[in-house]
Amino acid sequence: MTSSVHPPLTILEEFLLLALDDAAGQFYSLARSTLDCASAGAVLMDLTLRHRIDNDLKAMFVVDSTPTDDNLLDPVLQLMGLAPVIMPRPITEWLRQLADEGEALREKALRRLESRGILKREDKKILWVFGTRRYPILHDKEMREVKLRILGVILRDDIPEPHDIMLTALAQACGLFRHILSGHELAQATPRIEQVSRMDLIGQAVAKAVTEIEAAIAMASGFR
Amino acid sequence: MQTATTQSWNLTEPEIMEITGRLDSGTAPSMEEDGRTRIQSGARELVLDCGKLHSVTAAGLRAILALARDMRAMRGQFAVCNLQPQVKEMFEACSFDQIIPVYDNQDEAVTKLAA
Repeated sequence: MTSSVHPPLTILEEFLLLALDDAAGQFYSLARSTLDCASAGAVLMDLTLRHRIDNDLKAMFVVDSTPTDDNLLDPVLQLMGLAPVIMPRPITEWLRQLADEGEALREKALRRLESRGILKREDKKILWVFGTRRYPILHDKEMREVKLRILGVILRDDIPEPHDIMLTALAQACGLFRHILSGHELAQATPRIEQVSRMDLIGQAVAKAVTEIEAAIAMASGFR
Repeated sequence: MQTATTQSWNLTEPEIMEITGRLDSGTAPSMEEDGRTRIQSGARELVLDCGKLHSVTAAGLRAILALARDMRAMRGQFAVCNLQPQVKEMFEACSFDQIIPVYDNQDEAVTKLAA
């Protein structure tokens, strides 16, 4: 059951809700490496919003190693805290390293969404051989709220909150808006989506990484 | 790492808020709080003079954005001026210059906001 005692959803949890096709109970078709990169970016964004890390154009660094008491974020904060201070690393390097943990981060976030009663996990076999996993939504309140909030950001001209800027940037980096909006809506909202997405450097780094991943996949598939 | 931030105020319209040093996760909260206090006290035209601000991080940018958002919510006007190279580079990298009016100097900012 959802209840008010739960902390607000993290960016990763909200991103997963945006990436979930509620009708099918499955994630929209995204390359696993894209999801890994977005998951890593989402955790960096959450740590940023909790004032644990900061960044400029050259580097991302820990500014407060105090645990957040969030089991999704603290292992990453701990890992980043081990990096030598005298060798600050750019966002892209952290993304690359944390993307290796992308599936584990997603799994943790999905378990939390399950434990909050927002979705459930369904494993089935097709033809007794092929396994499929679905995540039917049990309580769509959170998913509706996230979608409405992001639609508000891209359809209005207000200055968005940092959390919503970051989520918009992640959704844009992964091409989620083509699933959420109709073709006509997407065409109209694209300049605003691009404007908002540029406002966050982590989101920009995720977009760049995803573009590189897609180019590599296209190349490996024989397309240029 | 230098993280000193100071503000000085001219009780004129538009009000001028000068930031000095580095605006980062350590200094941004107090800058944001000071700006919020001015807005809550009735300032409706506020210029952030960044002439002595030598660097800004993402946390600093978010604080500036928060003030711009608060001012817009009050139907007031907010601008920045005198951006030094690193600060200007950050502003442009995040397209903040498309959201927040940026002027070369205080005089230009005051003139535009008063117009």
